[in-house]
Amino acid sequence: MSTMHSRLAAFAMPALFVALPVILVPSAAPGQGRRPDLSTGKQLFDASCSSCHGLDASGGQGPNIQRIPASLGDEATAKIIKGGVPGTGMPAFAGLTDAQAMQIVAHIRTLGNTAMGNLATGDPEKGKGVYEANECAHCHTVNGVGGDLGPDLTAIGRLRPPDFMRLELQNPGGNLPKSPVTGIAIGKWTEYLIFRAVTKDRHVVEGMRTAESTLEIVLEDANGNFHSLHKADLQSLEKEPGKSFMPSQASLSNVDLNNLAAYLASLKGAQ
Amino acid sequence: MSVRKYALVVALVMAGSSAGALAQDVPYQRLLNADRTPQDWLTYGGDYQSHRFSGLKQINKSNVGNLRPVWIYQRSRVAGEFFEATPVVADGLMYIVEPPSTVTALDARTGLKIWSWSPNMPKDVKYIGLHASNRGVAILDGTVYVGTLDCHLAALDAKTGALRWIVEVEKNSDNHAISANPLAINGKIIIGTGGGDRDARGLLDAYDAKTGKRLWRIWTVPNKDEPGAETWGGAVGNGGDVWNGGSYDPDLNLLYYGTGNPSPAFGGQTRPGDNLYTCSLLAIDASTGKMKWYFQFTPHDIHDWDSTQIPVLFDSTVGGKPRKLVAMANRNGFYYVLDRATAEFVAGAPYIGQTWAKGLDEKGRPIKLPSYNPAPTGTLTNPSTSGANNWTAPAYDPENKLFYVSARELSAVFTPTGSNFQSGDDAYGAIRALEATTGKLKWQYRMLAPAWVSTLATAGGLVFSGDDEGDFFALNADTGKLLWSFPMSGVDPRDSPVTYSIGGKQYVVVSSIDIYAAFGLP
Repeated sequence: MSTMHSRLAAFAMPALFVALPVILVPSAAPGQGRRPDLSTGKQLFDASCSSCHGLDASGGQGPNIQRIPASLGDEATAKIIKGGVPGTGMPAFAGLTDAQAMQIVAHIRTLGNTAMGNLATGDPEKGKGVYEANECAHCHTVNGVGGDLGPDLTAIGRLRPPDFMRLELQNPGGNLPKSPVTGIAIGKWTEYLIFRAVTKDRHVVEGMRTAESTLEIVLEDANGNFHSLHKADLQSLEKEPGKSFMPSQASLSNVDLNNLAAYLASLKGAQ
Repeated sequence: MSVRKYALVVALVMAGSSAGALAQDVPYQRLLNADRTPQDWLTYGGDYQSHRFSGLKQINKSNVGNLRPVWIYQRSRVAGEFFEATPVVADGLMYIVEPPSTVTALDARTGLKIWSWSPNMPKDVKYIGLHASNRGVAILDGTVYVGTLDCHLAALDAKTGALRWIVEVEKNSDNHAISANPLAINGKIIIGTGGGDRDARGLLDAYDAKTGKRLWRIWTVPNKDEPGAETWGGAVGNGGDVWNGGSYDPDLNLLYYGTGNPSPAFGGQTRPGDNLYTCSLLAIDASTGKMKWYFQFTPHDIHDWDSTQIPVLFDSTVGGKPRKLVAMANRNGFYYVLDRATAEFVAGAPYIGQTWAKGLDEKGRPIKLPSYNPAPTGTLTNPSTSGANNWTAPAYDPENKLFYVSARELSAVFTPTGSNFQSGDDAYGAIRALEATTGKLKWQYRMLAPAWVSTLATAGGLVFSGDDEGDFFALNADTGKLLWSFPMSGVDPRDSPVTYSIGGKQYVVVSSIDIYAAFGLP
């Protein structure tokens, strides 16, 4: 073991050097606890978290954590960062201060959103009326009420800023979400992606992919019917990127669009 | 049935097939000649050459379509843990490892549990890898050997699971853990540790198989005054951990092990230079632990491209001359063939659509493109950090001289600080058959996603593997055509199929998340 001892002495320096960016970032100044410093949060995140969770927290060898602060809360997320998750690959970053952990959480909250502004300019109450008048609930659920063809919007305001939603309303297939990576699987699948399948007897099925394997695919059509298809039985199977079953709301007036976006932004969870 | 009674029955049943030797005894001679006893699966790679090729052909191209499940062994689901161990099968017993470090012996005919052994590990044991994985056991002289998550090496009675000895390989508190299978050679157990991504220094050890006494250790990155230190720009190296299995040439008495990436994985500004002996293949004298030669695949790696893929040993004729060769389908996207006595570079070719090197020079060193160094705004690079292949093992078919590897076509956007994997819709996987001496693509079987499944080749003209959605399948070894598939439907299986035979019936076994499933003909 003598080799090991001299070895430890020898690598103490570089190890410290490597750890420097993590430990010696500027600590939170008074007042920063309320408004976390995003650039420090980004530095810390890139150095300590991105190698497993990806630079945008959308997952890599570790899971997608973009929505963790929204679903667990900031304090609970910071606690996980500092304490790790026993029994998984998530180590404890015990050397971080509470303020630094909160800076990382604040940075995570910016990821997965677009860089657009977060200020709602419309009237959420009027927006609710636009939502009802346009029968959005036919496909979307809010607080347990509505259809299930499109995503549940109950907490959409925690995930997306109003400007992003206004763009989505006008071009629904333009920025389809990626599925969160669970476990340690790698590869983020595009959700709500439309496929066009033509069977050998020229029957056409157009639907959202709900499941796929190398040999099989399950599509859900616009009426909510599932089609279980064996790929070898198909004449063709094509992705239709950019397409969505959601009709574009581009014909709405600017005021209605803003109000609708403001309503969606106000949806912060079950009520 | 009591364990003792059972052992007696197995011994009686097996007496005919194992020439009078006691069941599960497995002396070194049996390991040396593992390729001649295809009824067993005695080592991680099937034999010391890591061929993962079986001479069994009861299941073959003409009847594999009738393959069906025979038994399933399942344990309670543990989130984030996956069965990844290659089963070792000796005289009717199958040894698996359930994560984190539980060794279980099953009746290989029925899947019934015979015994289980778990180490006493501290509650705060560090999971150094991404999750608690274990790739399997070694067997020698009636003893089963396993490395544990808390970085110990344990020796168990092969019939009862009783602990014979356990030694600490390195301190888990210093970020060492074991996921690799031990390798049993004549009187010695070889094992390495993981932890390079957490600044642990790579090592490979040999232990006395009878006593657990350490016989030698080799560090894979040099100390300050040792040869190779000049390749770290004054920094003292870390990483280069030996966290996967290796191969052995008994005639040359050389062990072949790949080493992990340098630490820290990204950026690399703190460690200018080639960073020897990371991302390398090492040939190590099995008697002394001294390095005979090294070959570095990715000098100054900054993409987390460990070179711990399984080295495959085979003999072939190159340019009219018989050569002793070693091949590796490296995580960096290139397939390499080296002379395994001298390290001479014989051939190399990309086996995925890699984007970071113009090619390999005449010595096998990569000619890096400017895009090798990621821009602060991000550079799209294939392969991703998870690599063109990772820990799953390839197979080599000595009959048609093809090398079968599960290839990962998955890019990532790299920056100097990290990386982002590309969407699953922009990625795919493929089982690729390469001409072993050149790396030239013979055929491929395309899969929806990059997979984590090893390949198995058999004399029945078959290649078994699996995809990421849980299909376990058999391909025609000559053409890559799909002949049989069974949807196990466990997303993200990570397994290593093996085959064996009991009482004249051939079985193929594969794991998926928390089950081992055996298949056979009706």
